[in-house]
Amino acid sequence: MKKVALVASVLGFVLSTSVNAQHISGSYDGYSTTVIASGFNTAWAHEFLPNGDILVTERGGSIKIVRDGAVLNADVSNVPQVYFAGQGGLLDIMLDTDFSNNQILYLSYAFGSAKGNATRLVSAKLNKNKDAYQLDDINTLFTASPLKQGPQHYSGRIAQMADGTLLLSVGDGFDYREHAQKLDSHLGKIIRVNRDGSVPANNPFINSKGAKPEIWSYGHRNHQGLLVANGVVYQNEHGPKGGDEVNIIEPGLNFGWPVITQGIDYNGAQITPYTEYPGMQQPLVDWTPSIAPSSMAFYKNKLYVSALAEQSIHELSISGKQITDQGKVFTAIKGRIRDIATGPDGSIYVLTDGEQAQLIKITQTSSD
Amino acid sequence: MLKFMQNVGGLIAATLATSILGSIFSTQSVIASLAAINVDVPLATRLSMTVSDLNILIALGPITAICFIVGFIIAGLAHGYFGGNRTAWYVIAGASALITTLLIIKSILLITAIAGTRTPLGLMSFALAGAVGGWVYAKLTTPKVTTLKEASL
Repeated sequence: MKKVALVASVLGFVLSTSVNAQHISGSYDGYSTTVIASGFNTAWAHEFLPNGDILVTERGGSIKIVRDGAVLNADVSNVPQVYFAGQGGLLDIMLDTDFSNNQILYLSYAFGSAKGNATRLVSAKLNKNKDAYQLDDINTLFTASPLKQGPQHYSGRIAQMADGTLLLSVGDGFDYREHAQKLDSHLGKIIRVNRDGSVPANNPFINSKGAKPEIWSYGHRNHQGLLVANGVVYQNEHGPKGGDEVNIIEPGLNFGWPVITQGIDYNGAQITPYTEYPGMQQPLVDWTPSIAPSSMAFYKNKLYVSALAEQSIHELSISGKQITDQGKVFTAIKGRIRDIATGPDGSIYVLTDGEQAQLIKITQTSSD
Repeated sequence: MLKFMQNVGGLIAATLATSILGSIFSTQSVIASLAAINVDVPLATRLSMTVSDLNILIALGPITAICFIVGFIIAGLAHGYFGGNRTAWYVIAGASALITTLLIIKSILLITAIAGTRTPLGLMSFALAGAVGGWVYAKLTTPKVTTLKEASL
């Protein structure tokens, strides 16, 4: 590992793995934090069940169950086999908006092997058998094409629109960055499919010759934040060294990577000479230097963006399609933050990164 | 002592030559990839980006120097043992040391650290840069042949 760190530091490339500081529950000015559960190994996402249980994905391929502040011994069973390497593995989990009636959830994960792998989206029925959960009726809804080599930049965040269609962020695969501009490739895109994996008839490129019909927007790098709030699709993405972004996504738009970016390559070289180019969208927010935005939550008309490298949470005030104010909040929380979500109890929950990840509940104690 | 200084000077010159060439080749490869997705990069912009990218020498230089030290020691030993054309040994050593190092870095980091080497052509251009470094080193460290006339003076 020392050799890795040496090579990485020489190249100026910051490895995504790190040892996290452990957060301790406490009360602070305007909010309190409570460690709900801990000990997750490379957790990536969490989701709340209507009965109060919380499901936590680990990239190694497990779905942990948190009940009454404890992690159950038994994981959710029958999880699809994932390709666990680099940044790959089991990624996001999201309940269908009609989960109470259909018990359907969605998973994204890295599928394949070192020789050929891709981001995949599946649906499954979550059945409860006594105290245990099991996935049944697993259906593959989407697999990114072409297969790529190298276990980086899968993205994998899932969101659901009001019409029930599903959005999935598909990363550029790192070494395949130009694919983000190619409409015959899923890499570097947001894709949109129906609940059964079919392509919605109103997708923007469905009638474009040679284009993948699932593409909804393009020109993305590694976009791990994606949510729909009040009918607006918000997204954030990792830039390279600088150039982290928050965007409002609309169908058919080109968000520019790797033709425009405020970032540079990890070794200091330019990725492109351009920060703007005809037909390409500018971000609502640019973070240079990078904060490494991971996930995103919407709460009381504000966006909350969690960050890995900066080990922070940014609060963004929104007015229409503009960000009017932003700043760091909940600064007492320690560690790289992998995921952030609004819980059914009105609190914000965050999931830290690393081999001893924690699930932390943030309760605001003063109204603003 | 003089020979040692000659070797150090040769190593520095070889490292600079290879790093500068590698940086230039990488930039051209990146621009070619942009052109392949219909991005227009005028000549002035290309030149400006090429010059700007020379700052990767801070990262590329030390790596090149380290791999050259290993490669050139092996080349020197091989030439002493097998004989043959001394310059050719260093040219081959320069090219193979740099490519081997890039492949090792890729196997550790699981990414291509220098974007210009993502394609086979880009990787070959770095082999050329390494070969030039080997040639520079060989020429600057060629043992001086003392002639009979000089010896009799």
